[in-house]
Amino acid sequence: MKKSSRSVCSICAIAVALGACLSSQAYAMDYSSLEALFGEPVTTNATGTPQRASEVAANMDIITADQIRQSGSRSIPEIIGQYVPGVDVLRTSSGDYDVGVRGFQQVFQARLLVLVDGRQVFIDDYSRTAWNNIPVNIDDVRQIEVVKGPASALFGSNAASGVINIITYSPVNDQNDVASVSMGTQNMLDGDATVTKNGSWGGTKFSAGGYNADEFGTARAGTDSPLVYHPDRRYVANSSVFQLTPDLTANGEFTYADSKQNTAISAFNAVGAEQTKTYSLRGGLGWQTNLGLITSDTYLNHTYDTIMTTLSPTIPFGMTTSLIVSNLSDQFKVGASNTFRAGLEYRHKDFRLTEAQTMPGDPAYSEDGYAASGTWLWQIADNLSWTNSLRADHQDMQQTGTLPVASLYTNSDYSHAINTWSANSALNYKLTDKDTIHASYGRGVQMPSLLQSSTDFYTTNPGYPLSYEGNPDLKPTITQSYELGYDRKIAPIYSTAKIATFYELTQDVASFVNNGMTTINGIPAFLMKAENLGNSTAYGGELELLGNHAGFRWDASYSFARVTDKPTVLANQDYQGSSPEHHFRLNGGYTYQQWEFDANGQVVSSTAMLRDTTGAGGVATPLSGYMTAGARIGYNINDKLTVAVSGTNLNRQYVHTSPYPEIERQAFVTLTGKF
Amino acid sequence: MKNPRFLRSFAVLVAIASFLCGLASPACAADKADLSVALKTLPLLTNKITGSAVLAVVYDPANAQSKADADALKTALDAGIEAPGGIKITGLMVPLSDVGTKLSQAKLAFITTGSCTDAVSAAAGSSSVLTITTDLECVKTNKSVLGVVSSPSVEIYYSKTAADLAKIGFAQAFTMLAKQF
Repeated sequence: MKKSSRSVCSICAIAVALGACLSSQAYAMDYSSLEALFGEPVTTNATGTPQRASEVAANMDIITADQIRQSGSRSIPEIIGQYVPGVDVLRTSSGDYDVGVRGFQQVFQARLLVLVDGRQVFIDDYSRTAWNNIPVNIDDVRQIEVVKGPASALFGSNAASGVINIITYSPVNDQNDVASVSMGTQNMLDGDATVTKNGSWGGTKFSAGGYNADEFGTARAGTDSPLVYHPDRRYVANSSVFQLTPDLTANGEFTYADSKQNTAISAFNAVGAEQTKTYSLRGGLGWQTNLGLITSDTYLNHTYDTIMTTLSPTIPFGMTTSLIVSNLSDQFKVGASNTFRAGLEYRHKDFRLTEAQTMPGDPAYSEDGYAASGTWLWQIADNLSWTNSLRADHQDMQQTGTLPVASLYTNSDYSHAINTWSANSALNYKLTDKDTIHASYGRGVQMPSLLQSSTDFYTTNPGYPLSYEGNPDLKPTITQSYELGYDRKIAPIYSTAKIATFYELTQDVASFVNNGMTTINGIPAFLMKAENLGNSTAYGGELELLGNHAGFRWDASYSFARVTDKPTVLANQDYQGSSPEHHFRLNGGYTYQQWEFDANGQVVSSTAMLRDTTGAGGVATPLSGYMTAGARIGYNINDKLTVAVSGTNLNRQYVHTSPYPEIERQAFVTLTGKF
Repeated sequence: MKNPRFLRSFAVLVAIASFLCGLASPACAADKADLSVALKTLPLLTNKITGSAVLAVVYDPANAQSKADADALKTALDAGIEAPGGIKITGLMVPLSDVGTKLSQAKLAFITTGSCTDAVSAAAGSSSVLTITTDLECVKTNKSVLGVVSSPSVEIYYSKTAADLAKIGFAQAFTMLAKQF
């Protein structure tokens, strides 16, 4: 451990030094002023350069702070599932969520990259997002940007089927001082606060909060962990921006989060009790020069995670993951119609299994990645733009230490390199002031997870000796997507209609496969080994009508996604069964004086997701479609205080949204103060 | 060009266009909405304006369109208008003849349609005055830093040449979102 810590520290120092010469886009851009000026949200998520929401060629949804408040939820994945057509949210317990884009639903969602202010909160161990652990005050979220379709060319691997960037208020350009407390069913108690101090020198923002609740009391399977956590979270986050000169800003960020949740685990298709501790450090500079906006951004994410399962009911399965990302980019305009972004990135990952009862040799796995990327936005005419992005990645992997006795591979097998490339191309054509057509192609890369890439563990459970093996021969999973979309403003009904259709091919899907009882190096063991399984395809589309007028607001949508898996994918990953084909959403609201009334509903079609309830492995478990409904009534007591009553799953006490334990009705009261 | 019929036709077309522009086109006639949009660009200046600022309304008394725009802007300014960030805006009416002496008193100048001249551009440039107009031709010819269209949707046009001349800088994100000729 000491050696690893030194290694991480020295690399961190180099990376920070690199970063110190030149800030992330999230800190460099004044979202508030630009949104106020153009009358619509702005984003950098589609091209890496600033764009107005209405001019983005990618399929992007932006959930605004107003929508977040009106949603009646304090859970980011729930809010995304409520508003964004083409996104399905799998909730397997009170605090565990996975978000799937366009049909590729899975436990431990590996295909969707999640960021907060541009910093990855996606965890590379299993390749997943621990939503319950994200260190963000929901009242401090300015907007949630959801890009559907591959975006690796901008954001690197794991943005294979989409990216979600959670943008918080700026410490320097916004004055967000807010505190809230919520109480509700399941003994839920939630408190969050954000204070901001800013001036001509820059600004600093401090957020802290957390919640406690009871886990749902719904039936669990015998394969689920006997230990059941009460879900909770504690977090602190600080971000600062210093205006060094009119053209130069420096930024820093620190976060810490500690959460407990009962989590569905992909390879086991059962629920474990998980505790996740994460911290992050970040620094960078933004420099406005004659050569463009040069930004540097360096951050360290550290995750310590333990999961208790039926296989290991007393000693947790533990992992530590460190990620260092350092990037340098320049955005500049050439002439009136060409905008460019060029970027270089370095990534270092360290991974090891802890609680080393099964790991006497202390094996460690690391990756070093180098990437170059570029984007060219060509405004061909006032009504026609063409965006192209390209990124090349080289990744070196290294395994050290003494491997478990039942290992199929050696250190040198695991030590190798992978080269990948990813691309996006999108055309946006404004036919008229009311009609816009966009067509896009994306090639995304999903690198194998750290667990899939490295040696894992051998455990001598009585009656169930288990060897968990990564696979150095795994190929990255490649997703290619083709999309055609059309938006139309319908002024007579104060609405915008959006329609999009897509075809997506995913090659070399990777997953752990149960090889049954086998003998490795003369030792009997059940072998779980990471394998490439073959291809999956999907096609579908989304249809949405949204608008507002005279205090009323509405957003109705329907999405369709049909996934077809090759048999090996179907048996081991089962995107085809896991993903509902049809999903209807309806959000409606009305503001009257100090009152806000909102209601929402979703109808989701049937699924047949893998679930292990007997210990014999995952079995496709048919589940009927379901409907959920939620509502919020808010009352502004005065300019500063708001009280709201909210509820989810109001139509039923219990609802089976997956083969995992049923979800319960939840209701709570929130008092929010803005100071 | 020597054909008198052609010249007459051209003159008639220009007159009709000017009339229509004066009557109907929001890209030409300035009003409170344009002024409001223009002021929203101030937080995006690299050298931020704080406290208060004088906004010069540059107009040509001999040009009916220019005079009408100036009157509309004066009405809006007299009613009191505040820019984002609590900046108090005071109006100063500047006829073309006084540009050389009065423009330097202002930090901002709204160039009304029909008053976009080299003299205005030069005076604004030498005094680092941020020039704003609804006359997009004025931006196209690099005589105004910003061009504003407020309806049906907001569009901002930006002249880097004019900005450089007046030594005025904007946040990079703004210059990427603004249109350039």
